[in-house]
Amino acid sequence: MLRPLPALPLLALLFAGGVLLAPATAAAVPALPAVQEDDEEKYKFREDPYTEDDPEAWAAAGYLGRDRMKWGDGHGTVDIDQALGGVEVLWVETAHFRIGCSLPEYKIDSDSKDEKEKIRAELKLLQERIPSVPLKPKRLDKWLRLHLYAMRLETLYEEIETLLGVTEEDLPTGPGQLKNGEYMGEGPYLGMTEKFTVLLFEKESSVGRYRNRYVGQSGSEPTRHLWPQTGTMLFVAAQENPGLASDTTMHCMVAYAVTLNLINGFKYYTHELPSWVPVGLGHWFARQVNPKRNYFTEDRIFSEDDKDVWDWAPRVRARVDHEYFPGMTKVFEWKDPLAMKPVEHMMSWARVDYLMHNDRDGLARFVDAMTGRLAGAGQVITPDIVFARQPAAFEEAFGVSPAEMDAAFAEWVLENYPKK
Amino acid sequence: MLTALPREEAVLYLAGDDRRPLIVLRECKLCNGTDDALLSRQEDNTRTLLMTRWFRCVKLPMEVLEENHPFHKLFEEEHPPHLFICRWDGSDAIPLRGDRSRAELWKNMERMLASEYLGSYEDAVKDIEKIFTQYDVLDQRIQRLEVDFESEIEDAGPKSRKLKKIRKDLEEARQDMADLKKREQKVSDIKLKYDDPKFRRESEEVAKS
Repeated sequence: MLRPLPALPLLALLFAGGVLLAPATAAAVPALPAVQEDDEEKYKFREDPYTEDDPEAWAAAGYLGRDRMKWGDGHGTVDIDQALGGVEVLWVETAHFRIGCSLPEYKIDSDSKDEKEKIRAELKLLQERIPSVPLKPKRLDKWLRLHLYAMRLETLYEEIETLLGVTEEDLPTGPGQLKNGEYMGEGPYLGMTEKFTVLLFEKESSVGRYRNRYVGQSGSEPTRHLWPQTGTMLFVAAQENPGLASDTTMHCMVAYAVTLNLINGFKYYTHELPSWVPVGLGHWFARQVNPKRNYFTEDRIFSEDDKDVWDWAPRVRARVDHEYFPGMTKVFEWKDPLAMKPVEHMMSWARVDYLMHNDRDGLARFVDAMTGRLAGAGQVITPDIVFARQPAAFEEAFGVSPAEMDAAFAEWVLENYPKK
Repeated sequence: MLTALPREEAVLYLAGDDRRPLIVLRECKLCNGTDDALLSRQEDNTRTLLMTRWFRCVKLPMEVLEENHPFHKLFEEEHPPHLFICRWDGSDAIPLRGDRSRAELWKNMERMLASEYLGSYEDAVKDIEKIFTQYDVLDQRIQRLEVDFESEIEDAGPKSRKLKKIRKDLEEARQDMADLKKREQKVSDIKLKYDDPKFRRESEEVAKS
């Protein structure tokens, strides 16, 4: 069983005391750290066999920087390398992420047609950026895994950006700016000042070391975290964390958790959105990866014993059939992903699934209304303020009352979700 | 400029008002940020974790090896141990290496428990180990009943007769879990010799002599 993915321990809802950093200037050419000759062997693992560290191939792959990068409050990648003590981490910077990865070589599950086909399709896309990647490998080496996660993350970012209906031009280049007279956050990364950060380790102990040293938490479970001074949001997990040995399950979990970060980070993170939205969207994007292996609650993940527990559409339909499903006003009350029951995760997904099929613009308007500086709410936005704000924002965004949405949702579910 | 405290002061500072025996660990480059100095990645840690409840466990950073670190005197040997066990006042210290066997670690933890506690820690350990097994069984039962509950609603609707029974079973299982937690707490509560006036008087007399 996966231990909780804690809600962001970031209730310091601060604008970083005025010390927000300027966005990183993109470095055009990757540069390995200046190393002594003795260190060459030590850093050999950082040579990318696919781009062969050629600057043009590197840029074509969509990378901007590597190895020595800023990261979170008071620490950079060099500090993390030192703190981890000998763990071979590959670091890359894409357009919207900084990624550290020590995932080991992975044997593609030959019994899983889903996984084989999924990875082949992904490699085909990756080949457009990095022509030397193989299309049908039996194993994914460390670099191939990193290249895949970098592509997966950028794809997710693009999908969220499209959903929210924003481009870089709609967002400020740095703190203290308004765009067309509106507050859109503190920086160009959906409103966050700095790029989103993702750490994927092999060992649970690496998560433990990182959390202990930099987050000030014990435990080695996956976690999300806000660095308020840097203005970035982190997700960290390890392959050794329960349930994450499969690359597909890990991908689902990354999609879920990073979606929560991206959506909550829209217009700069000052508060968590009503849980049904980020949780529902997190599951929605994770289920695009693989519905069977979707990381489906904060404390339960895919299990072979679960049989069809993962199959949410018929389960939601059965509840609607029995007229036994939570109305929208009840859904509003779900405040904390950690406290939500498995059924509430499923119903959040169903609500978002309905909106993704029928009113994406409305969903974007609702997220827009519930993020950033809530008018009249002051600097510290509590869950109660967010809760109280929902009904009006809902009606304004969707043009219907919660009860009217309930009726439309039920009708759509009965038409579109299978009985079995 | 920081200076190292005398060893006795350092130990008393770490113990605070707690009179349980101490386990003091120092981190090194390899185990930094983990509990690897005490716990094993290869073997079962249940017994170790179970016994630590009767110790005050303190972890010190790598910098403790630097001469001016306030707690340096605790690890000032040429080849300092990775951890040590001692009484609350620092006496009877047992230095241990980080890569020692489980058996050696447990033997020394047990020795300290026998000398510092009045009740039988051995009985408590056995009882708690049994309780842990029962936790696993109950956890699985609760999880299964929760799944059954939701499945029944989806299969037969909220008015299903079966639901009443599943709900009752679930309530019982949750109550069993609550009772088990209380039992664990009760079993864990063995008395420190320090808290017994007779033993305290005797030990003070020994200290004076």
